[in-house]
Amino acid sequence: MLAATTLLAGCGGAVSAPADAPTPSGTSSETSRPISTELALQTFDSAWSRINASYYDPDFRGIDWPGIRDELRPRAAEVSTREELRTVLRDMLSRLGESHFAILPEESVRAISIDDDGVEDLGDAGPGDVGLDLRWVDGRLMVFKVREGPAGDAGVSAGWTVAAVGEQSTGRWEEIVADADSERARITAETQTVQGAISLMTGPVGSEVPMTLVDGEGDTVSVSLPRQPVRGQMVRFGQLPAMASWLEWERIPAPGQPGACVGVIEFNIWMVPLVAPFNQAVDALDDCMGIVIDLRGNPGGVGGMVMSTAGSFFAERADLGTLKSRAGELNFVAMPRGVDTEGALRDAFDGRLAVLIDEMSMSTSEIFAAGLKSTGRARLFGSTTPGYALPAATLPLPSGDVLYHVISNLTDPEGRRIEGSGVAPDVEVGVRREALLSGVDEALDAAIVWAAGGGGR
Amino acid sequence: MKMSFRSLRHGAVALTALAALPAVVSAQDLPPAEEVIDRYVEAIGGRDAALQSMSARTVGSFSMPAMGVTGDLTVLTGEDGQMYTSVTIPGMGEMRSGYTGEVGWSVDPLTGPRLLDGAELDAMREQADDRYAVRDPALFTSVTTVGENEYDGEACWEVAYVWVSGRESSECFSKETGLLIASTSTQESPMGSVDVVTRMSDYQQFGDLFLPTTMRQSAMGQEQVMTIESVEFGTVDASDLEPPAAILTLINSGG
Repeated sequence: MLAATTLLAGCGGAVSAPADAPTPSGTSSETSRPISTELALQTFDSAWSRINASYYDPDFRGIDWPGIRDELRPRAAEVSTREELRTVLRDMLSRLGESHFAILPEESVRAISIDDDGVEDLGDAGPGDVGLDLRWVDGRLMVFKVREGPAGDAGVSAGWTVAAVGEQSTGRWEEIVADADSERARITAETQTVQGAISLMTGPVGSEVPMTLVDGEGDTVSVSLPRQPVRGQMVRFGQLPAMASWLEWERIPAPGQPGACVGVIEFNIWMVPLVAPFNQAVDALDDCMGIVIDLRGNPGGVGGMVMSTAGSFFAERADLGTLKSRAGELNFVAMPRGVDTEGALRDAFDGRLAVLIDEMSMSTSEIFAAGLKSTGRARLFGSTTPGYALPAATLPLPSGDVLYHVISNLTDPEGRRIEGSGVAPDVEVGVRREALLSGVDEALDAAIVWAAGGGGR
Repeated sequence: MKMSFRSLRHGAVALTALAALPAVVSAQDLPPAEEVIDRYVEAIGGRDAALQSMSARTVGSFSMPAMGVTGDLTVLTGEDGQMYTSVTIPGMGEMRSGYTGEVGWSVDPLTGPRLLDGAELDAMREQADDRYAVRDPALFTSVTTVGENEYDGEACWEVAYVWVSGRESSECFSKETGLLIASTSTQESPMGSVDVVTRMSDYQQFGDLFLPTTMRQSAMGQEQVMTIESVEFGTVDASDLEPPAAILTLINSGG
């Protein structure tokens, strides 16, 4: 149990963007509450000291951590509001240049009503969105999926380009993406601007999001979309913000294989309450030729979940990655699931396994994909992930905010660091606007064909 | 009664690697380990109390303060060496582990149902042994006072153990009270070995025994706190100790 709880150290998707992310402005609802100099300095010192004591590399990868304290502490002494202090703290965190460092505002981490399963009923106080998934396609921000909700009701379709979200024109984001001087920089810019757009589309239930889009005919379409409650259950773990979680699966006919099936499982986040539904889905699809796990857009979550999830597909334990902290090493290990959800013995699913990834598959999704790729158990389809994969933990700060901070380095089973490099698919399947406009998901289709026995093993 | 430290320490204290280096004290200044242990056994209520056979139901809480995680803790012990531990954390679910007297097992959402083996099973089996309550020499190949140490400002004698299985551990007994105030260990798991330091405090009387109600366990840079709120003796039925259905399936299948 001790090791399991140690591995709870999350890979929190919702807070995984580096502090220097080019996120859009105007997303904070924080008012300028005052803060005393004493409390500001206590908070600064607490955050700095925790990282000083727990960062996985005592040499801080050559970064002058004490020097950063000396530079920024005087600024912390001059702030007059909590938001100003957060700016200083985020500046401090950004100097480390890694994901999984964040300052979580007090109001975002305060549980309102949570049950034993971690499910929180926020009612009308919960977040709302408009039911759109966005991606970059050929330098343009585009509607990737339209889920049930306001956008679909308004007639918005996949393949439409996004010109503005609220008052934020996407032109500046297009410049950021276009100016990226490397493939890695491009992926990072795309990931972070999509996160920025998502944050703009998310807000209080009932409020409206004006959006300007360009449809498949080239016509500009302006809509005002009322935010509806986000899909799924709001799940809270520890001091992380409540996050919506859902899982769905379907059995589809295997292409070219009469009577056979391929299963497709999609879930939006790695939160522990989804373990049981995932296992149930795998058990229900056990007779299929293959299973496709769609992790596109999945930002991560509780890192240790990869062990039980991967366990459905392994007959023997298998190494999925290594966490290295100052205190030692632990491995993520696929734990064979020898008993099904009905309590009967089961064999590992031995059909083909495909995993879909893209530039919005982060953290735990990357660990899972990299582990299965390294072991040869799965074939990855889609596009390269952003490389935001470092185990992290939280610390309540004197100000009431929460420090989210890296505690371990992480490498895949072949010793490669995922952070900063991402996970490349075995089969690159980019997104084309023409396909989106015609309702075709080419990466999913490619994965299904392979899972049904097509192509090489 | 079989309460001893078995029920309180299971899940909290795995067994051990040698402690952080204790302060240098010449060997002739160190009390013999037998003396340190005898004083400890007396401090918790005496040998007869420690070795009484009676089931126990321990209820308390489990928390990881830095993560903001708090849950419920229940530890059941039977009269014949059985154990059953349950920790329920919102957002995480229930983590259970136990020992049937022959088989060690674990079920949690991150690793699923499994039967323990190797060093992990050795540790559970040895901790479940009644004789551990009095640190019976038959359990060890070596028991040695190796120095003095200090935890939370309290000086203690560090006793190192080499178990019959070959595992190593250490415990530190207060110079002032004779009570156990800390242990160091290495907990084995499928994910690897974790060095653990556990500090015991807030001793209270439960029946004939004087037991710690707070155990702070540090591992991998994180702290876990177990707090005992109540201990009832003689209220655990055999059915309470039965492993979950998934574990029974594994046991019946031969593992």
